[in-house]
Amino acid sequence: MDKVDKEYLQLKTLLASMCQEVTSMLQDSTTALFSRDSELAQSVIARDDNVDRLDTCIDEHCLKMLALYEPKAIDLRFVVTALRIIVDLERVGDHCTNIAKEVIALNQAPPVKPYIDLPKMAEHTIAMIEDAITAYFNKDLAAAVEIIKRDDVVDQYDSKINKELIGYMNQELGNERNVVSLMFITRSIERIADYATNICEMIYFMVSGEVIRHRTRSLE
Amino acid sequence: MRSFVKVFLVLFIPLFIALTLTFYFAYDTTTANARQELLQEMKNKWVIVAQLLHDNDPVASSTYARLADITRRTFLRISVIDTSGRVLTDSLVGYDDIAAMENHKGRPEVKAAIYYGEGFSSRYSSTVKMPMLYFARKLDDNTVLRLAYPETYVAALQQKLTRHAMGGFAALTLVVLLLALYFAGKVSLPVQRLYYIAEAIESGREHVHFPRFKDKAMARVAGLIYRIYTALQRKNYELERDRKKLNHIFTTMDQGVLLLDGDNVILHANPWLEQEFGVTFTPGTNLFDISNDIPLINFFSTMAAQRDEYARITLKQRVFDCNVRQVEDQKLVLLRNVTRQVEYEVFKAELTGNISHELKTPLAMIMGYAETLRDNPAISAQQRQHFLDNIYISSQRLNNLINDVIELHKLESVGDNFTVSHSVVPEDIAAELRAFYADSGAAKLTITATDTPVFISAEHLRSVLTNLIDNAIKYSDSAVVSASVSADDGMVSITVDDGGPPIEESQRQRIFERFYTCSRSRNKQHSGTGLGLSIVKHIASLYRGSAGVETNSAGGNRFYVKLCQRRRGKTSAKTSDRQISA
Repeated sequence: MDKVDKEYLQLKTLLASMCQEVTSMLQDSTTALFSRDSELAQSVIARDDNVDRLDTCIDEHCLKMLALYEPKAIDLRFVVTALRIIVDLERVGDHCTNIAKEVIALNQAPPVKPYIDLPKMAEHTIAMIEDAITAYFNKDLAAAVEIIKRDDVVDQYDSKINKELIGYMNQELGNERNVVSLMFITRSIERIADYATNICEMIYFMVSGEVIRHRTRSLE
Repeated sequence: MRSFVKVFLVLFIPLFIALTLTFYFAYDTTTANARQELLQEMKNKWVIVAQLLHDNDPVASSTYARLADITRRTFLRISVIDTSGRVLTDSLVGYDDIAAMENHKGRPEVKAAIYYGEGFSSRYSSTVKMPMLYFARKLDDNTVLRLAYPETYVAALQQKLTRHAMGGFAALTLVVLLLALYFAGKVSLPVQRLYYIAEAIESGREHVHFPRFKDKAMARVAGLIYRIYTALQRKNYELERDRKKLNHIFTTMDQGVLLLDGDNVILHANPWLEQEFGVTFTPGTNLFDISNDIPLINFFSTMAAQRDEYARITLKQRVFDCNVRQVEDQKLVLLRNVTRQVEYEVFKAELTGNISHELKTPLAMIMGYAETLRDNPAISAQQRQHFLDNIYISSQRLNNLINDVIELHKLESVGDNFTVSHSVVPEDIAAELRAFYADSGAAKLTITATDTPVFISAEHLRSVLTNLIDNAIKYSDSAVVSASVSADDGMVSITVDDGGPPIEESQRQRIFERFYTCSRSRNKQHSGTGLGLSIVKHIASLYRGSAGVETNSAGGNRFYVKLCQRRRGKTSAKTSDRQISA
């Protein structure tokens, strides 16, 4: 095994580690919401530092690969895509931290309502992030397009939950602060799904060399 | 074969070249000597002819006639040339034609004779049309006497020599060729044999033939190779046997064995790993190249980061014990799936906690009331009676709990292979229970049961019904509880309906776990042991049946149990089966 292969494998393991960290943060932040576990939410906030550390580490690793091995064609796009994926994953980590902070605030008050669609939305989003990174490893164009389409489901959940929350706000006056917190959480999860879509657009570019940003509708 | 050709060429080529050179120089020297002899002969003849000319005028016709006569007899051509190159007489040319002959000053032998006293040359003569040897020397009167003689002698000698030399050369070449072949064979054959042995060993041929060597040194070398080869073969066989044994052990092992090099390249992996992780562990492939599944990559990453230590790593609800040993620059990883063990440990801890909690509650009450009675002898009779009642109720609860634990233990020890030797009529049990619950004065209970005998242990049937009815009475808000027992096609169905509230769907499986109750607050209100439904489920599994709960038409809960009759000789005719008398 030559040095370049080793570097690619290290990049793969670092990215997998970062992906697992952010998806577990999202999982735990939503679990903390549903089980009203502030301690778990606090641990999510603490784990953001690890995501930042991984971001810096992968960034340096990619720059080293570009400088030392001067990759060409798809290899170059693989490294450049990794550089852009980590930016999105780092932002996913930030959103998880925001969710965890909102959860801590929410846990101070009685629960607003039973959560039915929010767990499903979070589960769907986690699967999107994991599948996007797997598609990146597999250089799988078809999977990337399929994940982009799955964003519509999350958007539908977002719209449905927000409608419910606005209705609830009108009925239960005095509980606006908590409802707004839930709206923030829903919006954060929706944004995370958008980052999964961004990653898939970059995978499309990596595999085909074609930029499909801002025109994903045409894929449908 | 190649070595034979090499040796042959090394021997033959130099000998052939030496032979060719020898023949060439011998031929050349002989020819040169012949020519030298001829020249000497001509010098001698020149002296005789010079004497003749000294006594006669060379231009006179009589002299010419004598010279021409000599030429006719001996082929010796005699010419007299003055210093200006004019031919005074020539024995080969007609007397009258001499004056017309061209100037001979340019002839090399004539020129040499004029300037140096004598000279000779060998060339083709245009006059006589043959190669001639010329010799010229200056006479006393400054004219040049030139003699010419055909070179036929030298040519004949050359021809003769060539004929003999070619024959000798061919014969000697043949001898050299045969000698070279002989010695090449002698030298290269042992080398060829050794080469054959080396090739056979290298190609891994199972049986290698070791030829005999006449040469002692070669025989010794071959013997040494043979001994090394047989020792290696023996070692190889032992290694192969050990490898097979080790592979067999690895294959049958109930844990993963993975050998990695310093770069995490797989050197060995047993089949357990493939079965457990669903990916192919191809030797020679990097561990991180075999899958793109993110949790699996992270699992491998954590595993590879271990250094001579033990770790417990989780992968998608599964728990693995990972033991890493550094073997020089390689890493031996032992993996064991301990998910069930971990689950059992959690279950055991929960069970111990639950039992101790359930035992402590009535015990604390008994101790508390008993302590109060002991420390306050002047307590009123009414209060004493109340305390004693509470002590009795708590003792009864404690007794029920212990009975349930014993019953559960008994059920667990029955095992799967039991049969029922005597049938029981469910209606008899129903009548018995109707009388019992009528005395308790609780909810209105209706029990309908078939009067067809069934091969179910009466104790088990009673236990299922009482536990389900007790449960319905305790936890239902409704005043009506109905139970039914029916038998159809070898199956016995028991249902108990209450009026609700319905149990949440997420808790319908969990209520059959030991000490699990839907609501802790409700559990305190009703003093159940928490083992009733667990006993019911266990009985159902003993009869290879099922137990569950669903919502009924009245909005309440319907607990159902299906039991498969265990009649002796029908379900299982084994004599060793345990029998339970009805």
